[in-house]
Amino acid sequence: MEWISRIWLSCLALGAAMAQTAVEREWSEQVLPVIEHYCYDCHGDGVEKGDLSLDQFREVEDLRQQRDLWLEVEKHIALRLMPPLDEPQMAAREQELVLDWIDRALFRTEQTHAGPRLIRRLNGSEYENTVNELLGTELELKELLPPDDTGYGFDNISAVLTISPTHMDKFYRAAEVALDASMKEELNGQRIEFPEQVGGVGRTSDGLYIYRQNGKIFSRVTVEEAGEYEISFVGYGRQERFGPLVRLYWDGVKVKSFFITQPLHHADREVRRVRRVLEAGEHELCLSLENRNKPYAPKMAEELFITEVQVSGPLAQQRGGHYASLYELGTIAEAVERFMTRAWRRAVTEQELSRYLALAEAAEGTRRDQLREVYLAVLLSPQFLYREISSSEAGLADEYTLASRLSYFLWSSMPDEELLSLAASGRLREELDAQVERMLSSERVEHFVADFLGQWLQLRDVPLVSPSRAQYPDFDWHLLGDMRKETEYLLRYILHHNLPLMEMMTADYTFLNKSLAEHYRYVGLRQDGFKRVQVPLPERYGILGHASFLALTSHPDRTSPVLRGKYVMENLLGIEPPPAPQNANQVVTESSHHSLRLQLEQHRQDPSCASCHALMDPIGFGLEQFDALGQWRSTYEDGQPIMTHGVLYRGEIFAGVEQMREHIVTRYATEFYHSAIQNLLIYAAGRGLEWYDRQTVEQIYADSQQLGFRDIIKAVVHSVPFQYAEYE
Amino acid sequence: MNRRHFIRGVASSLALPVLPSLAQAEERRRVTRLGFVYIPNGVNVNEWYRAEGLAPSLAPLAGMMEHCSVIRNLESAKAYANGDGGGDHARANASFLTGAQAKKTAGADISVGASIDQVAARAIGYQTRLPSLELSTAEPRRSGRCDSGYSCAYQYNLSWINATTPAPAENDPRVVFEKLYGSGNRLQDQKRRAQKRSVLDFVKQEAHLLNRRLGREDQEKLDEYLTAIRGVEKGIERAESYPIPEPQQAAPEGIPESYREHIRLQFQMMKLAWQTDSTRVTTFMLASEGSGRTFPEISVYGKHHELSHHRGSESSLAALAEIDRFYAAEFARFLQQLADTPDGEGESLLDNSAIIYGGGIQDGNLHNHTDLPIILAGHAGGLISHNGQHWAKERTPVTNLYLSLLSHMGVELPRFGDSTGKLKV
Repeated sequence: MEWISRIWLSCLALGAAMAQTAVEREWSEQVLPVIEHYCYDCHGDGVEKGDLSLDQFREVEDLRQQRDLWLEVEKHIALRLMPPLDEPQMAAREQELVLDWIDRALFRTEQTHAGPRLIRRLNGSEYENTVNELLGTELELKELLPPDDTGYGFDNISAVLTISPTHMDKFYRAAEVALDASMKEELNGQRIEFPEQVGGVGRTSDGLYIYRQNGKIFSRVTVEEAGEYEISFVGYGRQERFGPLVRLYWDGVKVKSFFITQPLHHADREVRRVRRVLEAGEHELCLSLENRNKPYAPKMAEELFITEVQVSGPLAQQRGGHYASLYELGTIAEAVERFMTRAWRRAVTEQELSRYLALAEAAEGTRRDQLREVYLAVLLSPQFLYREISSSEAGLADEYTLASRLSYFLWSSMPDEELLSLAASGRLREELDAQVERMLSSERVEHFVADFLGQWLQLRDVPLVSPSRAQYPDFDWHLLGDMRKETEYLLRYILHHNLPLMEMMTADYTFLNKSLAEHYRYVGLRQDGFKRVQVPLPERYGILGHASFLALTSHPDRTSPVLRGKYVMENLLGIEPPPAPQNANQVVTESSHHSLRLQLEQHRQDPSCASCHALMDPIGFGLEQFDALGQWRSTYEDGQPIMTHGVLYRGEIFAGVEQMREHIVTRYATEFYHSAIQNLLIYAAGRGLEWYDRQTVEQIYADSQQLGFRDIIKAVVHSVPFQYAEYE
Repeated sequence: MNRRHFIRGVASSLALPVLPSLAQAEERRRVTRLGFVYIPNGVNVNEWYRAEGLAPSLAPLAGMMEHCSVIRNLESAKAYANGDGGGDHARANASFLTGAQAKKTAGADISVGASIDQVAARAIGYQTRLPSLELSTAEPRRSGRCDSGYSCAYQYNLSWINATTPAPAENDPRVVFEKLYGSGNRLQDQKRRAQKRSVLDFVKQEAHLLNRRLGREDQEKLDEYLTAIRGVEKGIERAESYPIPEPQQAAPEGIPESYREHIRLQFQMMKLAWQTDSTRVTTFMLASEGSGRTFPEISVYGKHHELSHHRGSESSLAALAEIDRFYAAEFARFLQQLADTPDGEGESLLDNSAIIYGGGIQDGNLHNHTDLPIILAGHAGGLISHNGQHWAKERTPVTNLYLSLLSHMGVELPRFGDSTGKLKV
């Protein structure tokens, strides 16, 4: 096998060498002259405006040494930020020539690169989801951890997910909290009421049985099907010498006695249980307190509480609850192996298992205490806290690694049983598409919506929007949650039906509840839940008409054309305008509406500001008929007219949001899809994109059949960075 | 500033490190606590600075001026672009306590420098149960990209253990309280610690086993993990060798709704930590750079960051001054509490502490980092006296001040970050 790939590689190298000569010839004959002509006045011949001298680049190899810089050059030329507006401009043909050459010569490779393999610490959401899934808990563990730092717009980036002593302390605390919660077992049988109480027993208003002296409670229990049943109860008692003694009678026969060792009013519940084979039919169950009889005790003294009694079964059909699987089923070794395999998301070796078993043996206490200590260690282990830590050598990622990549990408959580068992038998790759489909149809895809879409589209921040109370005294703050939901519903719908992702810009339907419909001043929606509705105004089609986006990109008391334009450029089209120049002369007061446009236009008179604002502002002006909360307005508050005309950066003229959207959808579709793919790839790979990833992004774009949301996700999953473990 | 005090300072700096058990009785008399309180987004310079007398934005500190000085002309030179383009908020935050230039990266290879509080903690932290305490009242983090191509790690972390690992700050006063006093159940805490020690030791062994199999970059990650474990282990040791104080008040319930209350609780925790000598080094980030907080409690509904881009607008400047006063008032309140807390013989906590209050941006509209808004409070055990305003030489690195304060605490560093010497205070 290896020799084949060697030959293949050397052919590629040969091809590359030949291609290089053509590229080099083009550089010296066609591209360099254009650069010299338009750029050297400021960036060559000894002039280094902005610390940039382009005349240092003579050979193609020189350029390749500084790809990051040429990425910026490319961007400035593409967006016509350079040459400056007051200097001679490249002709369209020249611009195209330079851009095409830069792309081919610097950012194309013969092979697609996977990028480095990175071990990644679980972030707060991933940790919370994984632990909850492992332990069957529903805890907000993320709140117990330090907030995660982010990079490239996401909170799952390997390099910034650092770990400090504070983190370690908190991971430890979170594991303790979660394990303690997992030990509070839930009864899942039939709850028994005891209508008949004899002796010193009474019933409290909230349904507990309280024994003040010896006494009995009786109940008739109907068993539908013969089999082994478990009778279980929770009780607390006064601890004097011994705890109270509870005897359990079944059809008048004593089955078992328990000393209740949990003190009165204790927070931790301990379930006492007994198993018994029962015949079908009606039976009598009795719980009796027999070792207390203190006639002199004050009337209200409490000896024993029985808080809950249940009968569950037949047991054969009931196994598999989290508690049982964690603490009860099988031997200790089986329980530990079961837990380690799931927690570490891979098969564990004999040595690994035996180390942990030794820890169990050394631990004190009951089986449950021992297991708890082992689980604590499993959850603190680097093999749990980090992903990809034990994956194999360079090459195709092993299937366990693949299973985790899939599950953390689409579910922000650990692989489920099905993924793990497919990986164990080496069949996950064969069934990849079917598995992706299954995963995308699962409820857990909610985490993808919350984590990926929540960050890409910044929907997570919508609830943090703070409209000025002075400006909007009647604003109902609950609406912020609804706004986020509207956009989430739309994207979930697109994902579910595998619609082209561009639908998020064009959808003539949306999802509203009553309060949001009222916010939009639509009539006719009566019921309370979210419902798919036709959007009556074409101006509101797609997310550019969603209050989530419109409020997110506004100041508390007014709209911001700049922020809206920036969002569309950066988040949707993947074009990051360069940052404002150092200490830009910010003379404009963006405060009163009617002169805002004028002021921003003045701002743009300053050439150092003009070129970037020419990218962002027009888009924002196209959206000016939506106010800071996303409500429609036909004039500004002071009656001044709103002008929504403008020009997009490639020269498309529009009047109003509809035309602008139309241009974006038709003329900027490639940018839009590339941007979505780049974000998906960053999120899936946990790293920023490198120059060589441009090839991968193109490939994913080409492989995304109908550009449906699911098609794109599948293409990402099939891409080289997702499939391979390492690139050296 | 005061020659006599200065000489005493030199003397105290000669003190040799002593084992904690011995040290306690001896050093209790004059122990200096070091605090850093960060305010983001610069200030309204018209109202914050005065050539003489108290500036309007600092009016809340009027009663405290015998205990603090405005220090002029301090600079955070590494917060400037120095060829890295935009991103002044990220840099201001990252370089304030590190005196180092943050490497411009949105994620890969984040790197800046160890922060002065962590350096101090390493030097004197062994003398207390907690080497340092990092507090914050920062709002929930926004998603999406941070400042101009810088990873959010720079913008949200003030303290850095080393160049690549930030020390996250604690937002929840209750968690801080439990750090100081334990859970309230000593027996259980003791049992927990024993188990924690054994579990951490166990996973540490595992990391060592793994370490041998990994490539270099993965090893770096794992080293960080091991360092973190060792940090926790040291914490356990300290918890066992130092007395845990008995709380004199109820534990706070968590993070309160009101920002002001939150700040007050965290300041209270800071005071308690010092009063009980649980730690001598504390940072407190009131909000991180670029904070977009609104201040309904003082009827400021604009976002702080957006207001700070005031462009000369009178209404924005007025709102900014309100915010500056709001922060100054809470700081003054904290100083008053320190002044009211006895420490040693006839002294107060404020006599025995040195606190820097300020931020890494002067004017949010210009994003400049020269003549930063900085207040130095406390007397460092009698080594610092105040007379309103102290003029350093133009563009003195703020790190020079740090060097002097550490020296007052008996820690002599040849240099730190971009320091060029000690600032005489």
